[in-house]
Amino acid sequence: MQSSTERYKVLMLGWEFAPIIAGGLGVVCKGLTGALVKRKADITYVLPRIPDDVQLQIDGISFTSANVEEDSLRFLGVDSRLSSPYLSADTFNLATDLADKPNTNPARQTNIAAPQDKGRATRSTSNKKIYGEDLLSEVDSYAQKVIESVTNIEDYDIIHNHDWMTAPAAVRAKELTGKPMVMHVHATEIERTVGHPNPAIFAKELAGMEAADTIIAVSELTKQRIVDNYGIEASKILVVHNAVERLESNFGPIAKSLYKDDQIVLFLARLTAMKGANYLLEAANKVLKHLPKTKFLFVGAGELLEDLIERSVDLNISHKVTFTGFLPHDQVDRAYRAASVFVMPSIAEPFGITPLEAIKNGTPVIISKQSGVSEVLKNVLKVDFWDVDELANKLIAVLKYGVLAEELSNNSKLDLENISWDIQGKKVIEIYSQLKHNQNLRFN
Amino acid sequence: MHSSSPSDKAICLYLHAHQPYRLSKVNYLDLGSVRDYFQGPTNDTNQVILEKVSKKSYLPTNKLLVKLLKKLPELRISLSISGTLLEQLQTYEPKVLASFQELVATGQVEILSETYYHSLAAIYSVEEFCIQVEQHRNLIKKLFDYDTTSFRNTELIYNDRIASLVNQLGFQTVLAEGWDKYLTWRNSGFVYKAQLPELESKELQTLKGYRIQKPVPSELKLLLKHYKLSDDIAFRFSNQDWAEYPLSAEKYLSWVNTNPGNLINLFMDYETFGEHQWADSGIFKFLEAMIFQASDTGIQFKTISEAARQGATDTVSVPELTSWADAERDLSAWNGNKMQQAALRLTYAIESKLSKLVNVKPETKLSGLYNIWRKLQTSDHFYYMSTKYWADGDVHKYFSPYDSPYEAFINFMNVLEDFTQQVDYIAAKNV
Repeated sequence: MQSSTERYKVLMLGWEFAPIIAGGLGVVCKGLTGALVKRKADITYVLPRIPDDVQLQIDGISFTSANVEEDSLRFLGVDSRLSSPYLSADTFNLATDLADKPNTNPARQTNIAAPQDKGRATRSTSNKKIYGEDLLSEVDSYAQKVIESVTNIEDYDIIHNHDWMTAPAAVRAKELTGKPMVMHVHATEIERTVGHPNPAIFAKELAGMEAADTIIAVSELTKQRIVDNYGIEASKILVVHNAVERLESNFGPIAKSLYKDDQIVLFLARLTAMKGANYLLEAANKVLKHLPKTKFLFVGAGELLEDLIERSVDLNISHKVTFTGFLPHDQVDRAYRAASVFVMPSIAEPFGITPLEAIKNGTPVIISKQSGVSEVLKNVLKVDFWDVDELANKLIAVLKYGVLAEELSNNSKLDLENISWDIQGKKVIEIYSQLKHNQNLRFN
Repeated sequence: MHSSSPSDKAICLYLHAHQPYRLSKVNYLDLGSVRDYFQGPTNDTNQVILEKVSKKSYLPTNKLLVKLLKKLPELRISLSISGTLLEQLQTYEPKVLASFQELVATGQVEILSETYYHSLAAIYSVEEFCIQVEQHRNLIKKLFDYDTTSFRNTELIYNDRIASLVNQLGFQTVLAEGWDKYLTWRNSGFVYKAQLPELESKELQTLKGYRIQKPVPSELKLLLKHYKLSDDIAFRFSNQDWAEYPLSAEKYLSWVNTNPGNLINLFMDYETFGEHQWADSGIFKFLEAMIFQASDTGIQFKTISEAARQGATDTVSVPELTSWADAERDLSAWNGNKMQQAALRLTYAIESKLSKLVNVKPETKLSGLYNIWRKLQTSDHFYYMSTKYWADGDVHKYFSPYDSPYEAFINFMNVLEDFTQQVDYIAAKNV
């Protein structure tokens, strides 16, 4: 019988956990894990490598692999060369090179692909053999390592993995224990590659989805993609939108002296095709013709950096556009606050946590309609990512009309009230409960 | 068949028909090359919506009402039609206009005056208010050969000051919401007198130029909407969660008969019939049955003016602005947030720019500009910007052609900016 005090023992297989972070996934996993632990889950959170100098905390309480058994949350570092699930197979070799430096945060390394880091790509290719020929074989060997590293694996009630790179490990664990598997899909290979999936990655992703008893999709958009592109039946896929931690940032409004009275438009994402920075750059060119004092700040690193810089030169707006590369978390909050408007022009975005962070910082938000977060935000402006003219139109409006920016800033905070990890955690616990007790899944 | 003891109750059914000129989708980048502000969000949306509403509501409602008016010589109905709707009917749906004319030709229908552009001019500009009332009254005279004597302001927006404006224009009766806040112990079942505060002499001078009759009537009769019985039809009729669903004519008339006071003021949108409440909800059958059964049981029907002829029981003062909208019955649906306030302020700021132009350019040459400015004053544009209940996706959203109040604001401001630039350009040329 299910009792109200029952707790679920969860083996959670993740790739990131803030501050061990390459993208939004680490922030999301931390938020979700915190909510689950506060409710009814005892979680062993498995990560590929936990650097010695990183403290993992929830609400200021540190957890390490050293505090064992009695804790509701334990971390287990399984040594691996894997870093970000957002990497494509082709860029993995570069990433393993970068991650090779001892005693540093591998995830952060992958984000520092700003110009000053370019030289690293030529270093230390010799170590590749030690860690596996390529990404895909590393994923397989990681699965084996997880099984070997987790003690008493048969004691867990639920196996919950995040995205495709941990899917083989989760499938192995399920085969070994017969316990129900939840695959949490934050992004599909289809989306990451803007429709050009690596067949081998796609196959591993698909195998995970097929083996999973329940798939959690971060949006209706992603659910539909899993149905359409992976042929998974819709009834097995439940949508749990992401949330954002309610904590207010500690930083006061930042002095805008750097830009004097200029207004800042902020982009914050990896500079990859999926994130649509190029559309914002085209819109910037149009906005600047009407509001020449505007500055465009692109925060983030990625393979499109050079292209974007070249394009801004071609458009003759390079003096209005700044590429900062990757910024650490505290500076990201400052960027949100300095900005007059935040733009997420993603071509495909399974969810998209950054608009929620912008809203938390009081910044008006423009998002593409092709984003999962669009399903939970009402008091934001929405555009089709390809509609550069409409993006420019809305940017001009927010920059020009203070009353619009003010209404958006105030009202979008109301949207956040319906989006909390506590509410979302409750939904995931409900899924655990139904899986453990073998009930039919009914879930709204 | 009439009942042996005639009822002392009288139903005063007043219907209001209106369609705005929805704005074209205008991108800021296209400013300076916008050709038509009033196509609607996609080409011809206004025409398409008008055709849809005509088919679903205006035509079947008028057909039913004409039939009832002809069968029941004692039946009376009051109506008002905004200038923006009448214009569009003339252009796109002349047969609908003809069906309204047929109604009025029965002699059993009263037409009320209002602002031509369904605007908030009463609040923002006395002169503009006068002009729009006159323009509307002239159009009613032209299309229906009818002289109005009663007035309803846009969305029943009302306070004592507006009553004074209406009185000074020479109207005899005005409508308002029967809102408990200022009715206190009184109820809408009686005729009241409006409180008429003094106006400034400059305003009086302006109003005098537009007076419909001399002298100014000594009092202004006030008829108050019975919001419960009105909204039972207008809002709740097809709501299956409503405890009284389904609403029968018998049940409804039993409420009419037990209502305190002898007047039952049922004021509602024309589009209630067939558009807000769809035909398959049984709304037309209900209306027909209700009118026939009311007639059978001796309940009378009165136009607004006929109802107002009975003596007023008391004077009602409404110091604050009220309307018939939303639970608040205030103006917050149109000016509740800062976007709306800014848009209204900038819209009415154009008045002085235009009047300066009148000094240097013959007014006839400016009629196009005035026409555009007035269409921009239509209250619907500001209603679409309302963020009240927006997140709940309620009635505001149903009526809006925009995806969000923010989109409504952005598009309106782009149109207004383009128009302002146009006015400024002409002004610069004519200095």
